[in-house]
Amino acid sequence: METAAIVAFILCIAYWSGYRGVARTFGDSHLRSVLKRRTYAVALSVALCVAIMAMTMLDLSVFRLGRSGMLTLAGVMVMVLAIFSCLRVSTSAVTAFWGALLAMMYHQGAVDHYPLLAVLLSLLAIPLFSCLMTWVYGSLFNRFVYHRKGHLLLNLLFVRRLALVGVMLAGIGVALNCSLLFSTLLSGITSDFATIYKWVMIAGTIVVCAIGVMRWRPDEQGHTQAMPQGLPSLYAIATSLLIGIVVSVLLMPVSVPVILSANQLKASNDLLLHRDNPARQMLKLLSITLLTPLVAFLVGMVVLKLESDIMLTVAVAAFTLLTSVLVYLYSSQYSEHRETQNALHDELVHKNEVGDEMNRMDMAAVTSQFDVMTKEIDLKHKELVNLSLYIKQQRQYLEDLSQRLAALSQEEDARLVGEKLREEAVRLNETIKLSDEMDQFYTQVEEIHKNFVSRLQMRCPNLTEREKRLAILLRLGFSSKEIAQLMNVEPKSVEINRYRFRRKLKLDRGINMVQYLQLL
Amino acid sequence: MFGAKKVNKTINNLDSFLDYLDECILIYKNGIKNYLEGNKEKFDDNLNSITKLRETTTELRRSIENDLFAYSLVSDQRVDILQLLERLDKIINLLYKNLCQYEIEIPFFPAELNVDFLKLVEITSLSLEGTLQASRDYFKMPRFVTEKIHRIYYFEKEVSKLAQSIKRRVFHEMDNFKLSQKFHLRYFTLHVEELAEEAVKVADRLAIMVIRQNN
Repeated sequence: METAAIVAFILCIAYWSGYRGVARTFGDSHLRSVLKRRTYAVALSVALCVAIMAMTMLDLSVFRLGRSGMLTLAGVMVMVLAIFSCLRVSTSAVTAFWGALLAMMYHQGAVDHYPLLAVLLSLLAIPLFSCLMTWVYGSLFNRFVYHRKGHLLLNLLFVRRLALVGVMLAGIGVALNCSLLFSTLLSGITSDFATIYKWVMIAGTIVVCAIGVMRWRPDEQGHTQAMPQGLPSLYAIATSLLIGIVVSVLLMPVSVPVILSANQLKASNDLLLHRDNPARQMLKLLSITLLTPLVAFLVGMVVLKLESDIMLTVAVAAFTLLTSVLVYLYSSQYSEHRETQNALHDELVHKNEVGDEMNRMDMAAVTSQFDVMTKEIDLKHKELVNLSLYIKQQRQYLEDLSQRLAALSQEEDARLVGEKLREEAVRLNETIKLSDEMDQFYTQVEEIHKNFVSRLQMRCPNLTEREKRLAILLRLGFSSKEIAQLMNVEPKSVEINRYRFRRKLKLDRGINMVQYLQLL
Repeated sequence: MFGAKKVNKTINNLDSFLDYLDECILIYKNGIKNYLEGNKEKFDDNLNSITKLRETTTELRRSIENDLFAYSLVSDQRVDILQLLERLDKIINLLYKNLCQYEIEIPFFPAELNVDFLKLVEITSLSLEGTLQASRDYFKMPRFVTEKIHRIYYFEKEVSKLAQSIKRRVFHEMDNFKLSQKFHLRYFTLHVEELAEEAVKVADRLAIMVIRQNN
């Protein structure tokens, strides 16, 4: 029963490590833009095989926790990981392990120099070393890799190969590190279960890598930076993990092995690489390095102080895990629902804005049409008034003429009658010229066709008033005879003016002038 | 191993594409010269050559694009490189179309305009050659791209000035020409100007690509 609980806890920790740890460590968008999923999977598989071979050949842990210690440790780790995942705070299985281990040692009064040394190396020294190595690798890559001479495509191929080697080395480091963690957790199992212990360790490591590969997604958006910036971080993590393994092998006879958190190493490297949001990176690092072990320590102390009943620990851990999963699922659903609502709201607002804009445009169109029609009505009204005045004036004139002719008919002197009649004829001719009315008429017509007159003047700037009027009359469709009557000139004179006007417009022979003016 | 063969093939295709563009520019320049001098046979040869080159470059461009996508080469600069190739292919298409229009529309160029028009074509060719060199340098020596770009801008300004002067001459001084003939000449001058403008667009694109690469 206890073994089953331990195995379940190990697999939970392995799943979490793969889902959050490995996926985040290798899920750098820079790397995803360079390596394909299959290449990444092959690299991790090779790394896993190497790590498993190393595990089977070496005895990686002599640290013995004892059965109850093992279960408590695993239970506390599961609880802490569940709580932090539920709250969406950055955490790490390894730092939780250290917190829980310190609690257990403190409770047993077995805190010694070597375990403390292992803790300091794991939590502080090696992450700082990883930071330094990131800077060193970054400088080396900038000098010898990113700006090397040669064709751009060949340079990028070289970078891709470097990334592949980096993933393999880091993969070996991660796999060995995970197996070290699991072997430490399983170190309480007696020699009767040694085979199961080895297989659980291998299974846990395989789960970690497999989940990491399944979570790999290609960078579909296309990264904007020229070369992968995550490469120095990857090599720094690989170097740190392998150094951690070497130190563990050296420390093994006397102490707990040095187990490193890939998540923590990545977070410390990101502090150096991603300087656009340092506060956020710092919070992440503090959460993993300080908050997680502290919470694990406190939870461990509480569990150890309250009960020595192991099954209660298991039950509490399982309950915490289940509750956290449910809360996490609910919050995911809620956030998705909220995003959908926001998107819908934005869509509605946009639709309303578009509708308002269309209404406004319709209103503007209707208003402008209304304005044009109002102007036309005003113009027509003016024309009507002018016409009525003209008719009135003509009527008055005719009445006067009638009176004069009536007075003339009384005259007996034929010579006087002839003279008077000649005078009346001259007066009548002058009246027929209608100069004032014609001026008014032309003014009104020019008002109506003012766009036409301005366009005509653009093409032909030196037009006289007479020519403008001729153009307007031609555009209105009057014939030469009608124009001659209106302008009180001979038709031949109108023809000559038309010819001169055509020459001024520089129209070819084949072009109809009236049509040309009407199209203007 | 690990795609070196594919990358080398793509590099060779890119170099060939740029070589064909160079050839198209030379054929275009010679074609217009032959047209203005009245060498019909040589002009026809130029037209046939540029037609064949255009088809070859279109196929080559598609092949390069396929390789870039299929082998996931330059995934973070892929969009920039594809746009660059598209613009360079557009230049080749413009060169071909311009030359075709001489054959179809048979424009009449007065003798007094020949020298200026040839000069216009020459300066436009220089701007296109600058674009070509800048594109080559982007792949091999990115630090030299910026100085090539400045030359392209300079040539484009010269083209613009000369084109305006030609158009002014046509409309203000050539009174014996019909309006339609003047429009025709303006149209052909405009098409040469378009080539220089396209070269400037490529130069702008290259400037941004170099900045991104250096970041």
